[in-house]
Amino acid sequence: MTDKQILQTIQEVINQSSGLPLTEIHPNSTLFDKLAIDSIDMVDILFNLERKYDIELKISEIEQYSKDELGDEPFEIDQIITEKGLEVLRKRMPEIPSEKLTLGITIHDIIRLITVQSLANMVAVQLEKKKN
Amino acid sequence: MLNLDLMNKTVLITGANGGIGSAITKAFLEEGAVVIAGYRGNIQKLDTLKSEVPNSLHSKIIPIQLDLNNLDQCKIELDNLISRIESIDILVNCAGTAVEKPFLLSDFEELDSQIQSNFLAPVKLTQLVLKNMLLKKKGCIVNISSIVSSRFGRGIVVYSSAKAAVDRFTKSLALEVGRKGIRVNAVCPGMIETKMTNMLQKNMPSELLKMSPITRPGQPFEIARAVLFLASENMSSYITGTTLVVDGGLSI
Repeated sequence: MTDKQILQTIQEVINQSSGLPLTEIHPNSTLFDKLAIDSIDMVDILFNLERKYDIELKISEIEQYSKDELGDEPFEIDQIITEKGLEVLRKRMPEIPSEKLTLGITIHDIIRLITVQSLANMVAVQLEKKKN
Repeated sequence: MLNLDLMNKTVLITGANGGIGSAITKAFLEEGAVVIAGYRGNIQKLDTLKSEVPNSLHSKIIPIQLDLNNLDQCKIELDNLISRIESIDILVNCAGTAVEKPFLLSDFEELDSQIQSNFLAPVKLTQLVLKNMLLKKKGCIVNISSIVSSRFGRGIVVYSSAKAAVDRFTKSLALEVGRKGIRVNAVCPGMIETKMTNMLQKNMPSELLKMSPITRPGQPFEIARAVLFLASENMSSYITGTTLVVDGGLSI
């Protein structure tokens, strides 16, 4: 399955769940701010993708993977993501414009940065894991 | 004749071996639904129930042991079940326990247990079942609450508080999942002739029932019929987030 096919499937699932026209669902659209997807739509989208691909998807894994990669270094202090934490996020989420990953953002902001492409990348990672 | 259209619908009922639960189970069976009858300890009551319905309906009852104090185990049981039956169309959260004891004499463990069995357990079980409903964009949940969620409550302070939380849970969840084709409602029974309400009855002035508009206690089948109504898409497709009081006017 190519990355393009995954992206297309995700756009279709978002369309079916939220009713948004496909023409408005761009790879760089943020799910919550740009597409205004609410939490129940998000759950619906994740469940559908999990079933379609037989994988497990958790948004919280972005934070967990980053923490694991940092080891003993703190990912956040008082919920504000550290410089090291931001570095890991930039590597892990290259689809997010770097100006959005600057010092001062909190762990709760991560979810608002997730784009359609982020979701496609998450699916691709899980599919790769499944293959191995 | 009203058509409830519950034939071959799959219904999961917790506490299916209890006083009200067994009446609900019987009512769904009589409508042709497939009942997954959740019970904790006593399966014999389900056997008794079987003897009260025609033999042709026996294959439509699937007993499942669900200890709601062990949700991890429930999840395994439910996952196994769903992989066999594909979907659960209706969930009836009926299991619950009321312990009558003055609040100040109850220890912390007893308070926790009341919240656990009457509020957290149905909430968590709903989460387990809801995923399946969400995928189908269709489903119906009926929570069995109580009139003590808004009236009375002496001697059952935490039980009545947990039931008030069930009412609020019903409404808030209805708000969240309505757009996905899932309706969530509650039935609030009044004085129903079961073991549990006999115990509650002791805490109410004896003349109260006589003064209520319908001057008798209710029967479990009268609650079951309210549940059927709310579970039927044909009958109540535009009803969600409601708490239907079935108490013979006792709480007026």
